Amino acid sequence: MMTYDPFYAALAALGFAVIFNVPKKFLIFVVIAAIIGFTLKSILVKSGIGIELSTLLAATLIGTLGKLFSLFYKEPHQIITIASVIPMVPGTFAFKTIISLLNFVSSPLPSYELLAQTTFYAAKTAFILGAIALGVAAPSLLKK
Amino acid sequence: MELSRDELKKIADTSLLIGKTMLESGAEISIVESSLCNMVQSFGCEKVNLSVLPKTISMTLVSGNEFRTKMIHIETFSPDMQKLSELYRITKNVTPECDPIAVLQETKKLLMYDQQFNALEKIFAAAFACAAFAALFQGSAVELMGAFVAAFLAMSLKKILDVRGFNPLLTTTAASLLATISVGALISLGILEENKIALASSVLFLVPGVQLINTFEDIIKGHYLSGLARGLHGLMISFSIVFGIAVGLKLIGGSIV
Repeated sequence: MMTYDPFYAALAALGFAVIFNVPKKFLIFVVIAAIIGFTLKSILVKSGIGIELSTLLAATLIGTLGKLFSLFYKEPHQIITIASVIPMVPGTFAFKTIISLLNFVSSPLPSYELLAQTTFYAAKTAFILGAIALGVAAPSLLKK
Repeated sequence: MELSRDELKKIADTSLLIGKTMLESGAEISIVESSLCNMVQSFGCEKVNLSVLPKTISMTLVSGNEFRTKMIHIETFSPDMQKLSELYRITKNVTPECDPIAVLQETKKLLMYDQQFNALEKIFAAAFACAAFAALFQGSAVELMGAFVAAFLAMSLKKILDVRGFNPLLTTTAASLLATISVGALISLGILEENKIALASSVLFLVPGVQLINTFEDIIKGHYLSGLARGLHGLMISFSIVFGIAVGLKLIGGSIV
C-alpha cells in the first residue's frame, strides 16, 4: 500500500486543484509538487524525524517550488502550492481530536485521560497544520 | 502628465474591481497590494495609498494637485485560481498607453466567463480526492468507496446550498452532517464495517486550505489584521465541520465512535 501513496497524494492534490479551478495547463505542476512533497515527507517520517518537522520541511520544499514557478511563469505561487500541500493535511489526527472532544464533552464526569487525549491530538493537528502553512509561506520570508 | 479627476476615477474603479476579485479568488494581501500599486502607477498615477483589508479595499490616487479616494466592499470568498491567474496577468500587462476603461471591460468580461470545470466535475473531483485520502490513511477498498460516496453526496449538497446563497458556515455544517449520516447509513446497510477512515476522509474537501495558508503568509508579511481575520474565518469553518460531524454522530447513535 505504501508504494502507491505518492500516487494517492497526487490524486488528492489533483482533486483539490479542480475544486480550486487551477488553470488546466498548470495541473501537471500541482501533481508534480504534490508527489515530490509527499515523498519527501514519507522518507523523513520513515527515517525517524517527527511528523511535524517532516511536514514543515516538505511544505517548505513545495513553497520553494511554488516560488520558482511564480518567478518563471509570472503567476501567483498559490496557484500550485495550495492544492499541492493538501495531501499533507492531518485528517486522522483531526478526526481523533473531534472524537476525543465529543467523548470528553459527553462524559458524565471529568475525565483527565480524555482531556489529555483531546489535547494531544489537537496539538498534533494544530502543529501539523501550522507546519504546512508556515512551510508554504517560508520562502516569502526571504523577500521584504 | 497630470491625470484629470475623471481619469483618476476610471483608474480607481478598474483597480478596485480587480483587487476585489483577486481577494475573493484567494489571493494573499501582499499580491493584491503589489499588483494594484504596479497597475495604477503604470496608468500614470504619481502616488497611491492603498489599504487592503479582508472586507474592504480603499485607495487614494494622487496625480499633481488632483486626488481621488474610493473604497470597495469584498463580498464572497470562493477560491478560483484561474481567475486569480488571469487578473494577475492583466495587472502585469498594463502600460501607460492602456485605457483604464478597456482594462475595466476586459476585467468585467473575465468575470462573466464560465469556469473551466463545471459543478459535476468539481463534485467528482472532491469525491476522488476524499477517496485518495482514505487510501492515504491505509483504508480498504470498501472504505475508499464509502469515502467517495459520502464526499460525493456532501459536495453535491454544498454546491446546491452555495448556489442558493446560504451562509458558508451553514453550508459547511450541512455538508459535514450529510457526510457523517452517509457513512452511518453505509454501516447500517452492512456495506462498511470500519468507519473512522471513511468519515475522516469524506469531510476533508471542506478543509479551508486557502484561508489557513493565506493566514500565515499575511501575518509573516506584516498584515496582522487580515491574517488574523482570515485565520478566524478558517477556524469558524473548521468548527462548522466539527459541529456537523458531532450532530451527525448524535443522530446515528453510537455506531461510529
